[in-house]
Amino acid sequence: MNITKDLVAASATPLVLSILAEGESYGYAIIKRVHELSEGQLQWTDGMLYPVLHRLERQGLIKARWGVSESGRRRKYYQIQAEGTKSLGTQQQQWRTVNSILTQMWEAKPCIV
Amino acid sequence: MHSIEDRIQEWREALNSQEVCDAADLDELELHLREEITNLTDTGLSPAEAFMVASGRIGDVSPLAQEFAKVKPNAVFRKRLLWMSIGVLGYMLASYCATGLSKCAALLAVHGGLRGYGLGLLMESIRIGLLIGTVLALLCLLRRHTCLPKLPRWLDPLRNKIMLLVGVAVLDIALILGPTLFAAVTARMIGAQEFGKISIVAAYVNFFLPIVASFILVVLVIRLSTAAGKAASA
Repeated sequence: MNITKDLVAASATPLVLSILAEGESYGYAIIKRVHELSEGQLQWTDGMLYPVLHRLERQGLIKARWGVSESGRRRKYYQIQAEGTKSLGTQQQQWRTVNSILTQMWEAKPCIV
Repeated sequence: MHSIEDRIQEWREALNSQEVCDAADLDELELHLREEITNLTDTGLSPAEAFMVASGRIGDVSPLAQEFAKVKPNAVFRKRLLWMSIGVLGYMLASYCATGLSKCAALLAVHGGLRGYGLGLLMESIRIGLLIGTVLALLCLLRRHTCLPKLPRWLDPLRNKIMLLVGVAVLDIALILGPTLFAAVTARMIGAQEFGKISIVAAYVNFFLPIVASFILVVLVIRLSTAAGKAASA
């Protein structure tokens, strides 16, 4: 099943924040994690992650630093900030609310599905 | 046959030509591409195949740049302002050097016995030659360091290009004739002596204006390139 572009775009921020809430990470690893979690159902164009990361950085939700991997490769690492955790909490509530509204509807009228 | 390094470089250049990403953004995306290529070659793909797949996964250059532009709307403007300031500053500097050099040459020519129209022609041709040289040098510099912006589409037909050139010529004549006519009329109205006072004020302004202008431009170039540098090293 392919999820629509709008929904992919809307879920990008909470998804990235949730992955970073697990610990510091970098672009390539975040993409890998998205693929792993969604089992290929979320069709992300890899490059599109970076504008999202930079926007979150600009908003002060995450912080970036250049570092070096064990293999000596230069990498830009991202870390969630207190503001980011707070924002993630709000977004979780919103998504849960939307989810429960839709579930209620669909459970009341199962014939739609 | 291109090597994989050439291909990565070409890809980076294509993204750079969109004028949105700074050096740090390009580094980050290039590192992503390289990591993907390494992983794909480990699974048995040839480097060329790995490059194709990896660059495909990162996505097309143009929509990617558009997404970046949304995050930093001022980036394109700042970059253009930087180049524009460098251009104006370079031209100002060059025009003063050209005038100075042509006057030195004229002094030598006077010493050699040249007088009259010949002397004037010599001076002016040296000045114009140096200016044309400077413009060409600036263009070469631009071509080497950044991709020139594309011409607007309405300029495509030859007729419109000619129209633009004619328009510029008419505007130039108007801009040059205007002040000259104004000066002639004013001088006739107020008399030569009074007009001389205006000329003295204008001479002072003409002396200080380029100094102030170049000072402002240098500050602008330093500020803009420092901001770009900071972003690159952040």
